[in-house]
Amino acid sequence: MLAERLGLPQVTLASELTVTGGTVTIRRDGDLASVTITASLPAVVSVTDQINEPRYPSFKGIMAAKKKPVQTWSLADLGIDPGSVGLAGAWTKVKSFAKRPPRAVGQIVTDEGEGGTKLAEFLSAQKFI
Amino acid sequence: MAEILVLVDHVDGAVRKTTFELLTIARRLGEPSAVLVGAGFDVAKDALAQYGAEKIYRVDSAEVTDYLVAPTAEVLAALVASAAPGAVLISSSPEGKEIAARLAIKTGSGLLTDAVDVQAGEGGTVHTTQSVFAGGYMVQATVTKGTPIVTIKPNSVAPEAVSGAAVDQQVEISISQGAKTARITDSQPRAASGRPELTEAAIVVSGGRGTAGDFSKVEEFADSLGAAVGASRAAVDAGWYPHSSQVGQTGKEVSPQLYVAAGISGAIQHRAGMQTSKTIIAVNKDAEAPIFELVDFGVVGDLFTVLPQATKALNATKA
Repeated sequence: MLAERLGLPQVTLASELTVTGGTVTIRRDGDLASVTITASLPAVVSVTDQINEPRYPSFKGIMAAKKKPVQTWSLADLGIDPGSVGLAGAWTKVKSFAKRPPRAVGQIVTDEGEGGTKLAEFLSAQKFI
Repeated sequence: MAEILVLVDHVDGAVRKTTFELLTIARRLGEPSAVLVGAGFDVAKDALAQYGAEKIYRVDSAEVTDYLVAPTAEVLAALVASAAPGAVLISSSPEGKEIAARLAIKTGSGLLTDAVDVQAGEGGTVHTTQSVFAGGYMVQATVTKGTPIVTIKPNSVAPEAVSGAAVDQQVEISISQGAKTARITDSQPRAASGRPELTEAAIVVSGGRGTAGDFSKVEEFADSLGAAVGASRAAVDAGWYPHSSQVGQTGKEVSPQLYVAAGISGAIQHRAGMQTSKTIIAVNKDAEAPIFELVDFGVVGDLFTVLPQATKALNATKA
């Protein structure tokens, strides 16, 4: 959605990413294949947890973080009409929700030589084969 | 009756099961029109007709198929403008969700993702059920602006074979320059396992730390059931199975008819990926393993003896 609003390509689910010149190239590991995807920059990019090992912050970094400026914008600063955002401006609506009832635990057997057979019997009785 | 657009998920015209599920849901809401992007119309036509498609819009040009997501979103946006459908249904794959997202912004429409059920509401509205917070809560929602765009998870409904007219509607469309940038430049296909795809399979058998790296008994048991094979995070981190097979919070979420967890303790992160399965079975040496809190049937035992015995019995029954 962000890419669409910005009019940019999206390059997502990257396990590996490189930038050369004005192009971003990623590897995405899908179910059927590992694909290489490229797009021109600027682009909206997303990564999976396979992308890298994050650095740990140094003590110096943690201390410096306390002094870093945090910029705050109001809706008016960004020229956004309050009626078009938030709950009032939402394009979908939740009508109701409910907690899923907990599962009742079924039968548990201890294998004393017949565990696998009993498992097969359960599957037959439940028509899974 | 309102037209309902269904984006076809296919490889060269071989239509995936999720599309038949979408067509079945579309029939509840109106008249299904399939949208086929890419080559393979002659292959797909009969299958789409068999599951109720009254019309098939088709687009096959390099402009659309060479680039990811954005051109397909433009095709759908053009069809939304010309056909004024009651809803657009897309499968909840990563690509499907991206197409749905761009389409929602293009058409100024509300988007509901990962629905597990869709029903018609009054006045042509559409009501969805979503399973959220790792399956802990069910949410009823609706779209309040534009044309409802809904992405639907696999295994949400049993596909119903109902004959449709499948009238061919070729679509001419030119794609904007801006949509033509993200492209696939190389593809390394994985060796096909011959087993069903994990998120679509009716039965999933997963192995965990208890396999100690040997998945053979899990695989043989899975094959006796025609099941897909999944893995816990422990098994994937240890390098025993690829990340694309991982079931859990940082892997795939599955909701098959039957889920069998072998040598998996059932930590909350794994449960998040499978606890909405219709029937759950576990095999684990540890009687205290949390997985046993979820099961319809459990065996406290060694998977290396229990699974082969079960496989043998199942194969004998089938013979």
